[in-house]
Parts: sequence; C-alpha cells; structure tokens
Amino acid sequence: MRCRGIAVGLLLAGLIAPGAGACNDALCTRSSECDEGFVCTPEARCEPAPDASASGGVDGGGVDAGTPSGTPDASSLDAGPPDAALPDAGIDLDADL
Amino acid sequence: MARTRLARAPLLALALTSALVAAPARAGGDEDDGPPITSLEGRVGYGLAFGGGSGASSQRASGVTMTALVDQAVIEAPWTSIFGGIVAEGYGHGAAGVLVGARVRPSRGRLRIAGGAVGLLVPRTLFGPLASVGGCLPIDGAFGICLDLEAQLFVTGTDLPDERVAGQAQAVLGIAFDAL
Repeated sequence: MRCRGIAVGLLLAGLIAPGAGACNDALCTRSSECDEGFVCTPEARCEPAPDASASGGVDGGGVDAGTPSGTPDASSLDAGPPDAALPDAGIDLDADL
Repeated sequence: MARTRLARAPLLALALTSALVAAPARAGGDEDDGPPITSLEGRVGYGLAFGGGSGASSQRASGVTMTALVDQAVIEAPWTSIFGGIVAEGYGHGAAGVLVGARVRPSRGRLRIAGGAVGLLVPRTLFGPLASVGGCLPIDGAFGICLDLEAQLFVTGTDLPDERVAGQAQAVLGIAFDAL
C-alpha cells in the first residue's frame, strides 16, 4: 500500500511511466535491500548469496574446468620441443659425420 | 488511517513542489536577491525504487536518502551552479557515497533544474546519473526550504543484480543555508 501510494504520486509528477512495473515491496531492486547473506537476483527476488557454494562452485569450477583444458595445451607444448629437438640433433650429427 | 496518510504524502509533496516552482512566475520582478552564490543544503528524500533489465521489473518503496550538499554558483546567465556532497541511505538498507552535478536556475528564481551523477561506495557500489527539478522558498534570513523531485538511475555497480539496472524517484525535502 505504501509503495502504491508513492507510485501514484510519482506517476502524477511524471517521474515514472504508467505501467512501468507492478508495485511490490516484496521484490528487490538491489542486493542491499535483501537481508544479510542474501542477494537480489535478476528475477527481483532475494535469494541466499552463493558465496559459500559459488566460491567453491564458480571459482572451483572455473579452476577445475580451466586446468584440464589448459593442461593438455601445456603438455603438448612441453612435448613439442623435445620432438623438434631430436631431428635437429640428428641432422646435425649426420652433417658432421 | 496511517496508510492513508502515507498514500497522501507524495501528493502533498507534488503540490508543494508545484507551488515552489510556480512561485517565480507569480513573484516576477520582485526577485531581486537572486540565488545564493554559495549555499549549504541538508536534504531528506523518500520515494520509489525501481529495477529493470533482464528478468522481472520491480517497484518498491525506496529507502530514505539523506544528503549534505555544497552548491557554488559559477555562471551568472543563466544562473548555473555546481554542487557536490555526500549521500547516505537508511531505513531498509544502509549505503553511503557521493554525488556531484550542476544546477540551472533559468530565471534566477526559485525554479532549479539539476543534472549530475551519484556514486554509492559502501557497503557495495552503485553508479549512475541523476536529474531533478524543484525549487527553494526563503523562510528566514539566509535559510530556505527546498523541495525537489529527483530521479537517480544506477547503471553499474556491485549492488546490482546481473544484467539489470536500478533507480529511484524521490521527493526530496531540504533546508538550505545561504552562505554567501
């Protein structure tokens, strides 16, 4: 009711457009409007902050996902130089002989 | 009964703002003092917060915004001043930050139009533009009472949900002190 009264006043003042959105104090616009440990989601709902799960899930997932995809590249690069070095060494040896 | 009073409050604010803005037109040539060169202003704002972007749009009652401003005139015609100050939010959630901007008083009268930027810095960040229109009425000597309708739009910051913007539209009541 409070929200709707304010909305009517601001609508009349031209500060907001008609039908700009349903007036609902239960919805959030920013995370700081939510209780401690909760964040505002894109659905305008306060939901538990994913800190504990996200720091393990997102960071861990990122690292876990990143490491395997990076490791083969690194190992192939590491494996590359020895392969490339052996023929060179062989050619050099043949030339000297 | 209390709800009825709350619902009427913004209408009263609107009426007062209109009266302040209309005052220069009625006063006409009686305005000889002009706006202050330097003024200090304490303000309290309350209104509607809104959010939009991806997901659902939302509107709700805003927190109470308290602001302390210093306003310094820099151009005489049209009368233009720059302002800066600190802002704090309470009642529902707490935040603090700074705002800067410029005001134009088209007729050197009570009507003033402002544009600027606001940045909330703690505990989370929010940044965006602001705009306001309103006026001040002298009440006693160097003091005046001001009422503005102000809109702030937050477009970036850690307090925003992903891919969303937020903002607030408020009626802002202030006490101004004409320092110079």
